[in-house]
Amino acid sequence: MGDSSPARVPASEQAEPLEPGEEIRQDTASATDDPTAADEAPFEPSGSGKLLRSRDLLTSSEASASLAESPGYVVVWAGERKSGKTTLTAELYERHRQGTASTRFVGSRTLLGLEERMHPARSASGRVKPHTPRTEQDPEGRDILHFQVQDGEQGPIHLLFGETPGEVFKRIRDADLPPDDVPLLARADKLAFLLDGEGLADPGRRSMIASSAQLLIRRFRDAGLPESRCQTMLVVTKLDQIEAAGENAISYLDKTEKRILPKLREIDSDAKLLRTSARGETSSERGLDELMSWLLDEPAIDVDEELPELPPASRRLQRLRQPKGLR
Amino acid sequence: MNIVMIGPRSAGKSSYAVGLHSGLVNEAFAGMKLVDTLDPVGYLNAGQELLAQCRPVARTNVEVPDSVALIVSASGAEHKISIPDRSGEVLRFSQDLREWDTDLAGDLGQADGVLIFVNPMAENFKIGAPVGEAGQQLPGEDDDEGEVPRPWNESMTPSDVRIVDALQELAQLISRAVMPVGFIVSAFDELLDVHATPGGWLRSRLPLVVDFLETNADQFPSACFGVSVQGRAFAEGVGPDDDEPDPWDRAWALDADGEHVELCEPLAWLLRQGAEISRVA
Repeated sequence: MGDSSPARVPASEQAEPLEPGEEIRQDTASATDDPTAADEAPFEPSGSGKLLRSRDLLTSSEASASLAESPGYVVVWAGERKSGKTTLTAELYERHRQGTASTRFVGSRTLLGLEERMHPARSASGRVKPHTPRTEQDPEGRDILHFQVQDGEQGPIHLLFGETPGEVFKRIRDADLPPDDVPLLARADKLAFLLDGEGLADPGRRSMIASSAQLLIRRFRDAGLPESRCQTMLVVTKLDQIEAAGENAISYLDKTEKRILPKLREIDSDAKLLRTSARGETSSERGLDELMSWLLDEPAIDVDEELPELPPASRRLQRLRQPKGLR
Repeated sequence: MNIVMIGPRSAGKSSYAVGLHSGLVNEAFAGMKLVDTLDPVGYLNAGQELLAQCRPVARTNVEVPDSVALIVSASGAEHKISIPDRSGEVLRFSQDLREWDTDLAGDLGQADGVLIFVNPMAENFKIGAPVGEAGQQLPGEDDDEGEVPRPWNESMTPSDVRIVDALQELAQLISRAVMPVGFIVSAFDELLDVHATPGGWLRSRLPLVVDFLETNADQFPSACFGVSVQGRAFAEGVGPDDDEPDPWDRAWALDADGEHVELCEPLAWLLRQGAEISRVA
C-alpha cells in the first residue's frame, strides 16, 4: 500500500487574489467555503448541552488527567519570542497529517488548538510564507497543547507541550521573574533551550541570541531547575536560515554551541544538542525525527528522590499537582 | 442494529442508501437479502429513478426522512437495520460549535456501528495544504508581523482532522467499549486513474486518520471501502445509453486492497463485526 502522487490542492483551498482594499470578513457562525451550502434549506442546529471535549489548550489539571490514564511527558521549549517554540510543537503534529512522522498519531485533546497554530502555515490562510502565531498568555491558565503518539511496539505516550509566551522567558532572562514562579517549568520532563537560527544568522542579533541563551540557562540553574529527572537539550531552530546565510553564520553557530552546551551540561550532564529545521525553504525539514525520539525517551528515575515509591505515571501526576520546590 | 452514517454534505451518504436499497430490492447481492422495509422509502426510490436517468442523487431533489429501517438477512441471520440519514451540516455544526446536536447525539449514543463517508471530489473536502503548494496564486508579500489574511476558525478544519475529531468525540459520547467503523470513500470511480486501492488512497491522503484508526483499533475496529454508486461519472444532460446497465448492476465497491466486493459489503462487514462483538461479550 502507499500510492504516492502529488497532492492536489482543491479549489476550496486555492486562495483567490484580493482586490485592493478588500477585507476578509469573518462571520464565525456561518463561515464556510462550502459552495454547496446554498443548495439546502438552512439548517438550525439543536444544541444537546453535550459539549465536545477537545479544547484549544489544556489546564494543568486537565493535563494531569491524561497522565493519570497512561504514561506521558511534560515538554517545555525555553526560548524568547520567535525562537520557534510553537512551530516545533505544531510541526511535530503536522508531520502525522502529512504521513512523514516516524511515530503514529493516537489522538489529541487539543486538536483544534494545534490546527489553529498550524493554520498560518497553510495555503487556506492566504499567506505566501508559512508563519506561526505569537503565543499570548491565556487568561484561564490554559497553557498546554497535547497529542499522543505511539512509536513502534511501545505503548502510547502523551506529550504535553507548554505554551509559555516568549515574553515570560525574556523576563526570566532579565531576572524579572524567577523561573520557579512558573509552575510548568518545574514540572518539565523534557526541557529544551532553543537557539533561534534566524537570529544567529543575523550579525546584528546573533550575539544577543547567544547571550540570552546563556543567561536563561544560568537563571534555571540558580533556581535549582530543572528537577534531576528532567532531560535537557540545546535545540537550534531554523537551521535552514543559518545555512542560507553562509559560512560565517555556520561558523558562529559552531562556536556558540561549543560555548553554551557545557553550561547546560553543568545542570544536566547528559544534555544533548540538536539542529533542526522545521520548515526549510532551501531543504526539507531536519532533526524532527531525532527530536521526537528524544521526547519519547524514558527519563532515568532518580532513586534518591523524596517521593514515595509509586508507579511512574502516578509520580508524574503527583508532580503536576504539587511540583517539588514550590512553596 | 443501529448504523449511523456520518460525513459532510455531498460525501455520498444518501447516494449509498439509495444504491443499497436499490440493490436489495432487485436482489443484486448474494450476501444480503431484503426481508422487509419498516419506513417509507419513497425518497430511496426517487433516488433510484435519478440514477436510472444518469443523474446524481442529490438531497435537494428528494425529501429525505430522518431515518430508514430495513430488515435484512445476512450471514444466516436476520438483522433490523436502522439508518438515520442526517444532513452533513449536522455534524459540521456540532464540530464547529463544539456541542453535539441533540438528534445526532441521540443517534450516535444508540449506534452499534458507524459508516464514515468522504468524497474527495466534493468542494468541501479540505486537505489543509501547506503554503507554497502548486497552484496557489497570491499577490504581493506577507506582512512581516505575521498578518493572516484569512484568520482561522473551526470551519477551516481539514477533512482528516474533522474525521479524527468526530471519532475522538464519539468515544466520549458512547457507552459501548467497541464501535466498528466502516470508512467509505465515495465516487471512487473518479480516483481510479491515480489510486488503485481505497486503502492506498486513505494512507496517501489521510494518514492521520489511518494512524488514529490503527492505534485505536481496540475501540474502533475499521475497514475501508471505495464505492461508486453511479458506477461512472455522469455527463450533465446526457441520458442513459441503449445498453445502459441497471443502476444496481452499474454500482460497484472495492475493499481496502482493491478487490471487488458487493455494494452491501460495508454494511455486511458492520453486521459481522456486531455479531463478533456480541459473541465476545
